[in-house]
Amino acid sequence: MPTIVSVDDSTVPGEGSSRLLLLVSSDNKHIVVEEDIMSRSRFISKQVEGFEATSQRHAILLPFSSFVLNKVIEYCSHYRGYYLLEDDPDAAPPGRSPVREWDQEFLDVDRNMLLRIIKAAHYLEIKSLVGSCARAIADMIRGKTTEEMREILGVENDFTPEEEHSPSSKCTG
Amino acid sequence: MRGPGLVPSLPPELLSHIASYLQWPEDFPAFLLVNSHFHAIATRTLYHTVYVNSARAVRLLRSIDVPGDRRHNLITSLTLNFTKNRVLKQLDLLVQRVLPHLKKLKALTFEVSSYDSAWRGQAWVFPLDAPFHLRSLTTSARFSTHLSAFLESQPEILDLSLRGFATEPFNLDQAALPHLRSFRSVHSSPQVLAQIVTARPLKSVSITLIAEDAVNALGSLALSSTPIKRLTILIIDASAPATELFPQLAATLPQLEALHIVALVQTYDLDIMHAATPLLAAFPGLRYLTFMASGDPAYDLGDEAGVATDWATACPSLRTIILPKGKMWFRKEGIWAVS
Repeated sequence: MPTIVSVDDSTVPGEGSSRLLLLVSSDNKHIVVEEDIMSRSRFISKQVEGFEATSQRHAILLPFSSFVLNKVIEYCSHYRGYYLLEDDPDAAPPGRSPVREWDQEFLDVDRNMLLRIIKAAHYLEIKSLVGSCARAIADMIRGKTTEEMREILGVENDFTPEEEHSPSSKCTG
Repeated sequence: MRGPGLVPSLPPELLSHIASYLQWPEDFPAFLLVNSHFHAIATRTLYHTVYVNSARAVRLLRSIDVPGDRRHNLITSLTLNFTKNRVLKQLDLLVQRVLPHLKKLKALTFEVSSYDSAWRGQAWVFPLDAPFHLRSLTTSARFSTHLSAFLESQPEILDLSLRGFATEPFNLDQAALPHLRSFRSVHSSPQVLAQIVTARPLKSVSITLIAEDAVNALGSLALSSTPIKRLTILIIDASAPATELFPQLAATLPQLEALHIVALVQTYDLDIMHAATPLLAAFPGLRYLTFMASGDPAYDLGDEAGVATDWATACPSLRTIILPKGKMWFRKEGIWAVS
């Protein structure tokens, strides 16, 4: 459950389709964003539904930094008004996101930033962004040797020599 | 010197999602050997969604045709695609033997060739006392009493796609498929369509239409227990412009939110598309509209912009429109722009 705090209506106007949301990042930055922009996030949409049920609007505290949050807002702003199949709760297909050229440029960041964005997108339930990040991470390791993959993924080999020579025995039992 | 190890800190579902973008076979031999954690992720990914055809299907099915194989419980989605083969009965029997092992199966696709669908009934491969509970079934096996009995034994199916020929009697119990939310068919007659739609909570339907069946087929869509919100129509004859369906659609499905019409055998020009403008006013909640047809090559994107603007004026709830040139139109800063 996210932490929520009450906010003054004068801070977060609640008028028609251009209502504003107050998002608070883990580094305590207050970011005001139009609700419509963030409607792609199922997490945010559910929070807003909760506001409507209680007739009270709150700030939404998020467990990632303003740097990452601003990046996610940039993504949502770019796709404001766009229909992306993965983000349609009635049609959400299982499986992979298509290649989107803008996303590839948007996610041309270092590995750590990419991982922070995918975690934030996962938390906010923005399936299209999770998909594009997952594709970008997979692209980093595609075509690499096992040792290069370990380097990129930041993990050590924990197979015994016997297992390493016959790892398939572990999955076929 | 390793990096900070952030990747292992991702939840397993994200790691599996990332692995799903790797390619079989080129990426997996190396990925399987990264370490034991990633080996488990890679194995789950490989067997989670299995899509195989022809010779590979035979090899896979034979390798898991063993009681107690641990891979049985990894497979949640299985696609067997034999559309380019004529299947021997021995292979049907192999499928019939393997399916009852797959306790975790949620999505099953069993595709056969048009020849097999027309001339051979293969739905008998589906076990009537299966240990699995499907959410999704796609098959081009011919309609049959066994197929209806299998559907009656799978009450958790949400998404159903029946692409086979309907040349045999098909009677589905009214209590079957109580949660069905989407249905796709290719060869269903209006009578079969009515059987599947009636009193079920469908939100999405995709059908193939010929002019002589249009009135009855579209009429049966009103029989669902909840309003159908998404409709896809593939029109396979050229007897009347597809836009003539709009009035009946609006009367039958007034709560439609997404309408996709594909009529590639029909040729459209700008006059026909502009003439359809007032008909769209009858859809008060339509948000997504696709209208694919063989367009007039003389017109350009600017002409399509005019159509999109006219249609959106008549139907202000529209958010995206896809027109015959295949581009998606949406409102951006007050005007209709192309993606």
